[in-house]
Amino acid sequence: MGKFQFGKVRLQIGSRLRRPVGLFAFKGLAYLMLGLYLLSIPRSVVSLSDVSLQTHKLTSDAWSAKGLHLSLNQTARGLSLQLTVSEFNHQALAGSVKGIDFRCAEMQQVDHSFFCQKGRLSIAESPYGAQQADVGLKYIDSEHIEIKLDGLLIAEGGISFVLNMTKAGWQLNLDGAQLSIDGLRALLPSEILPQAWDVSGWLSIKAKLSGVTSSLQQAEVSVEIKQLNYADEEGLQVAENGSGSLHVEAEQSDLKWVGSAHLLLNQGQYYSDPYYIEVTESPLHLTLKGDWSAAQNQLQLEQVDLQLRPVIELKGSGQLDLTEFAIQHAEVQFETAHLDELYKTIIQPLVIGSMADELEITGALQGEIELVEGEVALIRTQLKSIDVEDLRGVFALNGLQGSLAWSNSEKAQASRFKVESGHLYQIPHGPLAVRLQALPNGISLLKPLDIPLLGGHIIIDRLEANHIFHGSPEWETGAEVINLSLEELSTAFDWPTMSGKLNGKLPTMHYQDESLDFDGALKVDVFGGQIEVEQLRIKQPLGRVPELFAAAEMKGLDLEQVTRTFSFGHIEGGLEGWINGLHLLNWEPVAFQAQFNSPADDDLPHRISQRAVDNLTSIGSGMGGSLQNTFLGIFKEFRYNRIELQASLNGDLAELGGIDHPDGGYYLVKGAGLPRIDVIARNRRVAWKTLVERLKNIRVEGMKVR
Amino acid sequence: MIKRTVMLRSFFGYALIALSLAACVTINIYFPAAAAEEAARVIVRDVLGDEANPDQPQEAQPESNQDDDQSFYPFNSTKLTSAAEVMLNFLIPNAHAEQPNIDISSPSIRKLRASMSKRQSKLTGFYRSGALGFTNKGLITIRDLKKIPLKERNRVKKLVADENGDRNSLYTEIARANGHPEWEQSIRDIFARVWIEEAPKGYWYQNSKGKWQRSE
Repeated sequence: MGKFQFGKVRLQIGSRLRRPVGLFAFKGLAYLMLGLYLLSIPRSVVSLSDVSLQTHKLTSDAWSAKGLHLSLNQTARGLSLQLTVSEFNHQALAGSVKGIDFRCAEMQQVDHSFFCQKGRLSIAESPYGAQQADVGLKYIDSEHIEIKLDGLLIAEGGISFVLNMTKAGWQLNLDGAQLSIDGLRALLPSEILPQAWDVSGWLSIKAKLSGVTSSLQQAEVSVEIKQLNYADEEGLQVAENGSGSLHVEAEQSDLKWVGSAHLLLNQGQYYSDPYYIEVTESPLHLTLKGDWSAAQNQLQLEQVDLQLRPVIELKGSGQLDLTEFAIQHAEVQFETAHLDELYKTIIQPLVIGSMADELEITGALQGEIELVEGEVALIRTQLKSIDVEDLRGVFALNGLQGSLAWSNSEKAQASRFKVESGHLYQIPHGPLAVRLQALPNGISLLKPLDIPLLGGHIIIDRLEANHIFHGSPEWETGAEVINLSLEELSTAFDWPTMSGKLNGKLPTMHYQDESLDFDGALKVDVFGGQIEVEQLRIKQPLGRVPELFAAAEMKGLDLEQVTRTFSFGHIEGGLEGWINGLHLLNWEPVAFQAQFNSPADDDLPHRISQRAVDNLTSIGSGMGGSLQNTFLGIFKEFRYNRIELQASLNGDLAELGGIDHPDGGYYLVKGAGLPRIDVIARNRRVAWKTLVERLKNIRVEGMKVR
Repeated sequence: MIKRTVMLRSFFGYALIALSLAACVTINIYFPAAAAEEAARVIVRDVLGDEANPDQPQEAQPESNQDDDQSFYPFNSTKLTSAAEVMLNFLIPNAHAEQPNIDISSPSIRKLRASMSKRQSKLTGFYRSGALGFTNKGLITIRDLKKIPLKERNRVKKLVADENGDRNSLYTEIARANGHPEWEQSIRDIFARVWIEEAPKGYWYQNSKGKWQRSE
């Protein structure tokens, strides 16, 4: 019996010849094969009866083993081998493996090769629990070794593998079935599956890995995932009942990993704030091809292919900095035939809280986007038969067709599109042909825009918009209003039908700080005369509470036409007047000062019907029908000298006035001739709400004034 | 003795001048806080509908009392004595003192109230689950996204954005409808407190320090 020590290694060999045996090239798992190596020493050199090897500690860069003990014994049936290791650590393992015990009772020897068909490995403690596994070993020579292991219980599932080691390198075929994802958490780096996340689900894995020494060179991994559920602490990343697969192929080339990955999700609900997708009939496919540079932690994708039907299909390439998780550069082509799905899934979550968050949008779209340093640098889209409707009722555009382009470079991008029809509020419009150019933070019209509406046209001769993507939007335009039909306008707003035309020139309309200011005047040819609207200003036109300010002047109106239109009761005569300080809040008046009166030099006959007198009386007093109870009820019409109504509104209080009467009241109608009738009001103050109610209650021949 | 009397007169004279100057700069003294609170309670109960229990004792929530009250009445923070208040009442023209009502009947306010009332039933379940809560700024917010089913999240986010849009407009409009746009912040502060006070049992709200609490 001889005893040899190499540092902390103690080797005991029972033999007839005694000579030192060197330990060399302890690398990787070859250590575990040391005993087999010893067995390969020519019999002429050493004849084995019992071999025992012990060491307190063996280490390399990647691993360490403590309390290693290897013993070989010659038995009647051949050799028996036992290897025990009290503790084994490897940088790839999540913790220590303790109490390793490997035994092979029957080891076959053919020449210098050894085979163990039925070895048994037991592990008392490991990050994956205690283990019992069947092991097969083939030791052809020190450069051809095969280890088979079957029955490892990891993460509630079973794992088996075959490891082949040759001089050229090693190959590992691994098969794992029904592994609990939560159980695997301990095996995976915390960046992949943070400890704080709630995770459950099952996966099966097939992997072919190969490499040299401890370095991985090639990998082909397929993972099937079922019943996947995960949620981060804040609920921003969540999956429910997900299933799918992941296939990755990669190999190391120079200093890079080159390969591809394909992700398939065929079931489940997924939320990645703010996006939500539910995979039901059409699976999600994501294919990536490219390379990864470990030194720069940079992913170069030569092909990206995403199919998320019916939402969108994407193809492209790009470069990502994985350290910052930022897109350095990307070019992406996208396409969808279901813009409604794209809006619901991708666009709407991004614009919640803006005016664009309540649209119904259908049609098709295709285009391309270029991203530089995480910012959109260029976007070009083709619009195909798109219908957009704002569900708040503000606008709609139908049959949108054409191209849109934008770039963040100073070079203007031209856009051209057509719209078949649409509406703004209740006003419908006809076809539009729009040509504009986009600059980094603005757009301008390339040719005047003709908007056919209400039987006439609005010509937008220019449009310059700035700060529309960043900052407070501001734009300026000029418009000419040509022959808009008041009849069609009345129909659009469900007003009493008025006949006449609306014309005007608005040389400058300026929008800034949510306020739209108009220069110029709108002229409305109506009721045989003209109404001129000036000082027009609209604040927050698309907001919750739009405000309108204006002033108006009326000349040469024919009361006969006015009263016929508003079914007020017949009045003949001229009318003129003005409205100053008109202030509408949410399109309802809150302030104005107004006066309407008969012109001083009116040539028209002055006649007023009994019904009109009654209605005027009811406006003043809230009670109508007073004439019918007097002898004047037999007269259907009366002559009058002058009509005058002054009204001012401030908040909910209206003040009324007319031609002053000596006793303190005021004439609304000052009569003439016989039978003479004067309408004299005495109350000057009335609640606006009451006045409006009175107006609404006026009925003539079954019609109701609106 | 005479000298002392003169000195006292001078002292009171200066004090009165100082008080007059204080009254000139503290314009929020005219803000009708009690009327605004009454108006806020009417609106809040109307919006919360059956959810709110009008019979519930209206005790101030422990975390929303003193600090908030002071913000509603900036004048109080000056800690002037009751004698000074009498003096100020004398200085304030009656015209101001006699307009304590807050108008909440303008068309735009009615429209906003109707919009909020209509939305309330869609929000109730999320208030009760603790997914949503009342902030201490008179708005609502998502306080626990995890309590909202994945499919519902963007719908709820939009409801929250719309509700906050309406609430912001409501505070602006009440101030404007009453001819004092500068009252907006005071009105918002009152609403913030009243929403919390009227919050039905089980609703979550943010106390003045930003901490979430459950209404009891």
